[in-house]
Amino acid sequence: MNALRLYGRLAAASLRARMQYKMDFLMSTFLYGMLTVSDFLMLAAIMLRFREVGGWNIYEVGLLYGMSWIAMGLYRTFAPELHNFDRYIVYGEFDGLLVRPWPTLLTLLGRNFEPHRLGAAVQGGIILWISVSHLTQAGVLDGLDVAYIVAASIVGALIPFGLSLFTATLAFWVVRTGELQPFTMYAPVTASQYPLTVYPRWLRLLLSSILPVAFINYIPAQYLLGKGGSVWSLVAAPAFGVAFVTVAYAFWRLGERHYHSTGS
Amino acid sequence: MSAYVLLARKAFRRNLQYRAAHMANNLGSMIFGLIYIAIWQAAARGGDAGPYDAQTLAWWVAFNQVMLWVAVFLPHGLGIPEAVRTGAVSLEMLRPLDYHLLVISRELGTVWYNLWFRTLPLALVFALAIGVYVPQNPATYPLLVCGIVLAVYIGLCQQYLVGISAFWTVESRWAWQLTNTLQIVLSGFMVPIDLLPAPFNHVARVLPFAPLHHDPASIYLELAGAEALLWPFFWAVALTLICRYLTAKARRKLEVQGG
Repeated sequence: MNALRLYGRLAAASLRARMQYKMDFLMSTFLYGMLTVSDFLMLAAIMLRFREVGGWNIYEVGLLYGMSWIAMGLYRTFAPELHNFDRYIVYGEFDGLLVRPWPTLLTLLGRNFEPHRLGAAVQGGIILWISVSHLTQAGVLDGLDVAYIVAASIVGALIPFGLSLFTATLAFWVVRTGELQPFTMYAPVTASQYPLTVYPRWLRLLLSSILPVAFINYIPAQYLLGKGGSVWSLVAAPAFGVAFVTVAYAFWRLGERHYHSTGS
Repeated sequence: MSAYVLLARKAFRRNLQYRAAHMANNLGSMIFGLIYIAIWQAAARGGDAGPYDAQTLAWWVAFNQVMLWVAVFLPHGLGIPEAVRTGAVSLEMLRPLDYHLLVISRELGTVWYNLWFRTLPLALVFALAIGVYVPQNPATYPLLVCGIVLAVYIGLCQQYLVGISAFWTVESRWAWQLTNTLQIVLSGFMVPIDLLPAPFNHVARVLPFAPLHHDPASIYLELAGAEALLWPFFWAVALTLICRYLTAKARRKLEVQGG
């Protein structure tokens, strides 16, 4: 709880710093919005033309898409420095985190808070809302399901967070990890916007094991929409998220112990 | 003449130093390509895609994923904003070389590097995954070369314009991000332009982004003939004129105000 309060303070301070540059904030909000809209354009083009993908209709895919963007948007908002972590190793700035009397990760997460990224979560939320209200009207989902979906979307942020933590930790050994992110983050999260069944077998395995984006949305959604799976998948998704981040954090601690400064 | 070639060669050698990092990045591009291919194939299997069947769409995605590295993924403003910031630009403009040509040829070294270390490995992986489309009509080959050359040149000119904007604003980074987004969305990279929802397809058709992906891909897959070079040709000429006009203005600004 203490850690949470500390995080709140750090985040509030960085938010104040960021708001000193209002124009920059407005422009980056606008551009990030464009990026997410462009992403949606591909989905719209596919769904308007073909009506369904791998047996999922536009609202069912919208459900996956919304959950995925909420998870990604929340992660990008609340852990921006983790995303650019290799800089700390390259320039030896990690030393500055080690001297503080609290966990390094906490300091890192409280820095450079990026409120404009929340726009992605909002956009995902709108798509999710439209999809869910259609699916509720059609009698596919009930109120309890909807509550679960909202909660799962938020908890789903643990998966991109865990992926990012793993990738960032690799920097302790290989220094530059920015080039790995398309593989470990962007591509898997993009993949999670569509039903897992459209991918070849090896990719399905990859996306539900070491790059476990299927747990953000596909695994619970599949069950809720009556497309297979068991009731356990509703428990499995958040449980996996927590376990994944726990393991990632253990890896981080290992990396931290391995760290030696650039010496400058 | 040789000075321009020398600049390109230097850029090529500089890039060689980062081969390992680029290979790691290729892994991401590869996965991205395979994901998009799988999505489109699943979609096209389910309904009517006009001239684009599942296999054609797979080739479309693969071709464009590979084209990204020579036409679209270019550094912020081709390095001009950084040169403006440090003042190095005044030395570059002092040289007895054409500035527009200097910057473009320097970047061509990187493009040439990308062709061998990004495009080629990716093309090999995609060829193994979905096979290679071999154009049947021999006339397609020269057209395709023209289409690709125009795409590279247009991509470079657009990035040059982003760079030259740094003479008037310190925030060219926004122009860069905006250009990148437009180059992905309205170029036919992810979606053939005619499959885009209504207002977007008409707008995208006439903008200078379609020549980067849509036109060369249509030529390669023999969905269009020589007419697909009209817009690219028009935009190559138009962008050249704009680039040269703005270069002259930037040079004058530098000479009068001292940067």
